[in-house]
Amino acid sequence: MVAPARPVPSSPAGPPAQGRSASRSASDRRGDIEVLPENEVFGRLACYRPAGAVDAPCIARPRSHRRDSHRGRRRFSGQTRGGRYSWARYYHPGLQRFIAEDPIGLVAGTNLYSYANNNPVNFTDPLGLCRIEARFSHLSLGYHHAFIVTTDPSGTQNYYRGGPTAQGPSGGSSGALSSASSGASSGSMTGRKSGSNSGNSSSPGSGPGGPGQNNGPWGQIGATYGPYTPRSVDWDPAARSMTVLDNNAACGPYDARFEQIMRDIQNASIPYNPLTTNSNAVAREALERAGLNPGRPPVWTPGWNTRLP
Amino acid sequence: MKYLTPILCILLTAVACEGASSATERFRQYFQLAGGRELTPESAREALLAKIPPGSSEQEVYEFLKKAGIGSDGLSSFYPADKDGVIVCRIEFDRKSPGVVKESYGVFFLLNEQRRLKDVKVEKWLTGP
Repeated sequence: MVAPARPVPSSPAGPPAQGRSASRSASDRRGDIEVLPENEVFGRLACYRPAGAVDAPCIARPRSHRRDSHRGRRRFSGQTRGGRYSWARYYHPGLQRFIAEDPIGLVAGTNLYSYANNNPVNFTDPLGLCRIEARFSHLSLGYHHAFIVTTDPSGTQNYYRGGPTAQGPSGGSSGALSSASSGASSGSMTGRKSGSNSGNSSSPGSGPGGPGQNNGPWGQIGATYGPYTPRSVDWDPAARSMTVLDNNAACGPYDARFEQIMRDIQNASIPYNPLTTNSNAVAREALERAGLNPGRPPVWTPGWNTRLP
Repeated sequence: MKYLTPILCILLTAVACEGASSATERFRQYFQLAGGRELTPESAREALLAKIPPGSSEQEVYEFLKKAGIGSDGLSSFYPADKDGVIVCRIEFDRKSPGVVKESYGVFFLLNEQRRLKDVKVEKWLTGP
């Protein structure tokens, strides 16, 4: 989704600070990359093109930005001087590469510094390719259930979610189906998978480990994943979303990472607690472990800030 | 302290539960299943197949779902057969229903190559914050 590093002039975001040289700024076509004068970032540095020619400006960094939760697109604030930035990496427009490692590590490829797969002409896509969203289903009284959805360039979507494996103290009525699942076995109709070899179907009032295990009234966290379709438990076209990543890489590496994280969480046998170790904590944990900035949800998601063991 | 979380959760949700129906209750209502018998995925499957027998055409399945009221109340929906020949019926949770953890159901009508009903599968899902 990131346009190639071909800065075009734009007006400065504000008057130059006192004591600084007159600043020029430029940004790429989408505004993802802002080019700063060299002394804005590292002081007065000499800037070199790959061939060694002195040139300026030379250092750029993504503008501080915020998420547009409704349209799933990033927006960029005008704050650019000395500002914060979230998952930013410094980008060198002359070298046309990042000068910091990809925060996701080797997941997105072996070259931690590449930009647009080193092919910005072919891979320029202002609409974004792999999109990773946290989505939020409204449950009741303003609280929400969070899950992750990845969308690759072909439109294929996968979800990653956590949930209880038992219905809690108010559940277990005689009319309820006796076999419930927050994550089902791999043979389910939904195509869901969980990290556990045995799956995590359970009966209301007991955890997946059976009645003999004290997992609390809601059982353990069941972490599952699979194709995101109407067959999916969390299928909710009206769910609010928060775009966490929208980049030019294929979704495959991210999906593989998320799958492993879900398996790890599932195998950790963590008791489910509606206020702490819950599905929202799973979503946040998965994003963090994948090297992404989970951000701040636009809705009330109890447990979002809870770290899983 | 140990019981604080469950008690708080029960209290919080109890205030908004009046008049709400659980997905299980609606499941019974939609498909007119008797309340006396405990529902399991297998018993629900048998009950549904008794009402819409194997061999029914795809169109008959749609008619069956429409007649049951699926998709008319905002708390249920169904999706036409996908590439695998599966008609998906969803019975969503009611936000006003009691409990912090919500139950919902997926009912899957499996079609054969002749686009006729082959089998039905039922899954219960749990969703919490």
